[in-house]
Amino acid sequence: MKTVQKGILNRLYLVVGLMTLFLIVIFVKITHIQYTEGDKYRALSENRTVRNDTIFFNRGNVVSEGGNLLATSMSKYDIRMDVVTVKTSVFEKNIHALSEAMSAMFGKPVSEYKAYFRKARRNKNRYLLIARNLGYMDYLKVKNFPIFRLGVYKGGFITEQKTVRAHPIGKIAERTIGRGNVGLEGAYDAYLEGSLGWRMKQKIANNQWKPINDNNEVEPKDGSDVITHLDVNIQDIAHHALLEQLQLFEADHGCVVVMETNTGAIKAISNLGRTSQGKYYERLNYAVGESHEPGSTFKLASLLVALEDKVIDTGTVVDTKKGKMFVYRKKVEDSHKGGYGEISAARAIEVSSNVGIVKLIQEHYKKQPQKFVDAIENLGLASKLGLKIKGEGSPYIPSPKNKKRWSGISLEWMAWGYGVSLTPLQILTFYNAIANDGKMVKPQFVKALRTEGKIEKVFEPIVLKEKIASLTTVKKLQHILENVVKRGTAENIYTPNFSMAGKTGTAKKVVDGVYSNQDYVASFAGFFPVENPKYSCLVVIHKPNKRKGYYGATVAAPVFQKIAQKIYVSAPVSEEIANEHPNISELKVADKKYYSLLNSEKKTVPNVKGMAGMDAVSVLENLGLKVVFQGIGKVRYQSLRKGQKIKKGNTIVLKLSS
Amino acid sequence: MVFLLLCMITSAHKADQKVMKIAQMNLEMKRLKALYIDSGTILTRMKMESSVREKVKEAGLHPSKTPPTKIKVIPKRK
Repeated sequence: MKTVQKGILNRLYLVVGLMTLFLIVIFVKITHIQYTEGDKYRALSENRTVRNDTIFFNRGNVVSEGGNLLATSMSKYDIRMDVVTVKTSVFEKNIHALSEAMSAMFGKPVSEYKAYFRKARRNKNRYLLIARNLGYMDYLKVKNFPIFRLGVYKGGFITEQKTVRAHPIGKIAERTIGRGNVGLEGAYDAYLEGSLGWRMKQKIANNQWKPINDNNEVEPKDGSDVITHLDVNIQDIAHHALLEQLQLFEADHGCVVVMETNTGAIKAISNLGRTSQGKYYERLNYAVGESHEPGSTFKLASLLVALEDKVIDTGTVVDTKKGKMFVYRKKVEDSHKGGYGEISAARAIEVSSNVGIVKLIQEHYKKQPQKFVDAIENLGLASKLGLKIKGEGSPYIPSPKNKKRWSGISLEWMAWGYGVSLTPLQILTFYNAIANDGKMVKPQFVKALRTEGKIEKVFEPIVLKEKIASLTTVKKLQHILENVVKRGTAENIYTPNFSMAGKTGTAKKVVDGVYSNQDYVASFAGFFPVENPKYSCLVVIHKPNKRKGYYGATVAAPVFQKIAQKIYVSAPVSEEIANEHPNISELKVADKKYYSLLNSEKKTVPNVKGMAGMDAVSVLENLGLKVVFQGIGKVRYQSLRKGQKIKKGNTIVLKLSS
Repeated sequence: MVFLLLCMITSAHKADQKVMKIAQMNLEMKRLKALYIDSGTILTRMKMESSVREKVKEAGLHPSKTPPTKIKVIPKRK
């Protein structure tokens, strides 16, 4: 008995001992976790339930002068489909309808879509691409397609939303508006970009995070809007006028810029280049970046220097002989075969006589070329404009000081625009200064910056040169440019309706180190209206198909004319007419009756007898009636009586007579 | 004490609900913004002269060659 008791006691001691040991181990472990490793685990737990949440800013918009969005951040949707999740019966029943809807929206044939879906189902594709980068409206349409409208689980409809930078007006002015560090987006990135904010958040149910404090630790700051000078309407016309001409002449590329004369505000800028398939798109910002030999448009600068130095006058006669001359055995030739004989300096510009301008400059500057070069440089043509947009091309004006690049023909070649190099915007700035009575203003793309709806900064016009020449000289040049259109090389664009002035340019392009007889640059620079210039405009078209035409007048000038025409017809002409017997009081009574009927709450047929026909129609149609009328003038008869109840869509017949 | 505890729990739940609502409204805001910009884009493209020209071409309409004239009738002073 005793032995049994002892055995039990021993076992009891063992169990108690083991349990005590177990407790001690637990205690030791707890102490270890709490104190030795405590900090590590506490930090880990905090990380899981509390986080520093970044609050993103909204990037500013680029907008046109009229408030149209040119670049903005918008939601785009990628649509995918989990083909496996759709029930076989649903799939089979709807695949045709779905393929039809897809075909109507995205253009490929129905059969192709059907095969596409069937293949995906065979391959058990759970992530089939349906469409990329859809706008919100298109996304809604796709969401309503057969099968897709069943939703995520039954229809396998997968949406991925992303915020992208988009150009709402499409491809128009795309290069200038830019993307990334290109164009205005790049130039004004510091303004468009906001700053990130952050706040502490704690995790709650549904995978949501709750802010811990009332205020953000750091508030995010939205970017500023950049308001440009671009006018969507002028831009649209410029783009399409250029595109049409490029297509017509199968040209390689071209650009057009419209600038406001007084301020230098760029109203439109279009740069189109050709793809290997013969389509055109905004390839590069040629207007800003492409420095090229201007050809005849440069003659105006040569003439300006000579007039300003008073070595010649517009009436100075120059003998162009038979339109040919040689300088160190290099030929200068007029495009008009046989030449112009003896003509005035002004006429030499009007008809764009190469021999004429070369002779004039040669005669007066051959012994002092530096004087001529200095004067050209003094016009601001030798330095960059200092645009904020990246990639502005460098101008080049040769100088006798640089003996390596100066030769016996440099001066003469410069006179008619060869051996010098300018970007389209630099040429336009010069022509704009002529239009602006000698005041040279810097081309400006941006009008103002706006932060949170308030204008923060306005960019005033920048004057590059108060006077590039005396007013007398400038007026003479303006007159000559007017005559170029009236009776000179650009008379093909002359119209008696409105006035334009400008200069054509046809320059040979250098191909493999020599001037090509096949590749040309056609250009036109000018301004309108002549009396009080409002806009100046430059058109440059590179490499038109020679067989279709290559002269500045035929290739480039029509683009200029279209833009001028558009701006001319957009501004209404105001005319005041004094009427001897204006019956204002009678009109007022009629108006009163019309407005009282229009605003009346009653939904019964009103009495419109005696009312003017057009007023009666608008009153009745606003009430939901269909109106059929005969004759003109005032209402003499109405088919529905006054006071009758109106049923929407009912027809009322009116008889009118004056 | 229990009452205070209940108050605390209710308030915490309310706060959570608000956060959910804010998240939902943010989503709605994004959706409406997308709708606004997208329809604005479509409208801008539709009202551009080139597309209007294209549309009315079939009807035989062309842009005017002369600007519109605003006629203002004023009473002649005697």
